[in-house]
Amino acid sequence: MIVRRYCLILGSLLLAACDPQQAQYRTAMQQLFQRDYRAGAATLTSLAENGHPPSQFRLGFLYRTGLGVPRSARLANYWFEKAAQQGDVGGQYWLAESYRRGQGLPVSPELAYAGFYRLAERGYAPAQYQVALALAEGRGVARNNGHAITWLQRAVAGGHPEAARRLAQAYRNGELGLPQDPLQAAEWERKIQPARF
Amino acid sequence: MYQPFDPLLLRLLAGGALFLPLSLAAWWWLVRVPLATWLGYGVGAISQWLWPEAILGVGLDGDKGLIISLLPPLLDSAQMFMALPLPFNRATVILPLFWGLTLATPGRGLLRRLLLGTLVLLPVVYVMVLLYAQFQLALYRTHLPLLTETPPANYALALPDSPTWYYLWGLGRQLAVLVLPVVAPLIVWLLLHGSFLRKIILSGLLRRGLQAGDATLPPSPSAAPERKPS
Repeated sequence: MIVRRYCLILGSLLLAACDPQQAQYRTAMQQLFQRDYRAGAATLTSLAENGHPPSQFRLGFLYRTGLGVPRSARLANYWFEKAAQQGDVGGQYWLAESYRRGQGLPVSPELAYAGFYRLAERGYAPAQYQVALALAEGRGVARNNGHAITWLQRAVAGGHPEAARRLAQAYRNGELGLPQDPLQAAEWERKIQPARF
Repeated sequence: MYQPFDPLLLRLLAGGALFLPLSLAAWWWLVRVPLATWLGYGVGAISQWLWPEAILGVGLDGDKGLIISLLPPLLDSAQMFMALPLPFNRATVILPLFWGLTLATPGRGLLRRLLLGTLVLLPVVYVMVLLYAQFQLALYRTHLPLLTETPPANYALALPDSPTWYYLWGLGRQLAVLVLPVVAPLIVWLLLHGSFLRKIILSGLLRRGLQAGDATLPPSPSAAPERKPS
């Protein structure tokens, strides 16, 4: 039984190692690491066109920053969307961010909120923070202080210091429907500091 | 004459006091950096099988390793890679601890014992470094302080590990950093020096037995107080 399990693990590891797309992706990343951006972009393009989500996200990032390819927010978002459709975290986050900022796309708080919400539900703390801000400000969604506080608390539980800072501020100033409470504010501020043992 | 310690034990203690610092010095000046180089190659080579989507390779910064992570950081800048720390010394220090103990232990075949123990401990060192690398990746992904470790300032564009897995990786880190550095050299030393230990334990038991026997014997006539004739 144990031997069979180890064989399965070993087999899957070998399969992963033999995955040609994975090997090609690593080559592209090596090229980018060595600052050979043109070669890296070329390798990523062929992978992205074959539907490899991490390559699609990385290629979108190259278009966004203009490394190895001409800078193009439109193409960046195109590849972010392709990656996001396959569940890539980076693609989903940056596509939502592009909708929020209006980079290469018309500003759409609704689509930004929807994108962040999908990631927030999967437990990604930076997206939970963005969802909380949108709910607190009524950006792309009806204002709802209660839900905003819940998402802020979830983001704090995910180690997000900005969320803790926002909660502390809300308690200090009596915002988001919370009573003024300096003790609670201090408690949330304490959570900004990383725990030390 | 009463002796509080067995002469063999005394020799071991004195040897330890002499050879442990010498071994640590030899490790620090001669072994630490070359071993870090080899470990860097070793971890980098296996990482493409263990973490193909998360680690590009392992770089070196003196005697420290740097994991070049493939998980992109959540940054507005053009930074594409994250370097995560991978200290090798915490793992390789088990070698001089074992060498010191072995050199301090009297007996034949010193070179064989040293070589054999080192060969057994090298894979342990490798596993310790892999456990620590796994923890660093989990720390970066999950972004929650755990034990004495704080996550990097930037989030990874990756979903966090589940709490159960995260604590398991934390347990692995504790094993690599706290438990194995003490336990591994000791166990290998114990396994390689069974006869010496038996000698010490047996002689200790014998001495105790003899002392106990002495205590139960009736006082000798010479020890009895002399009575003066009235």
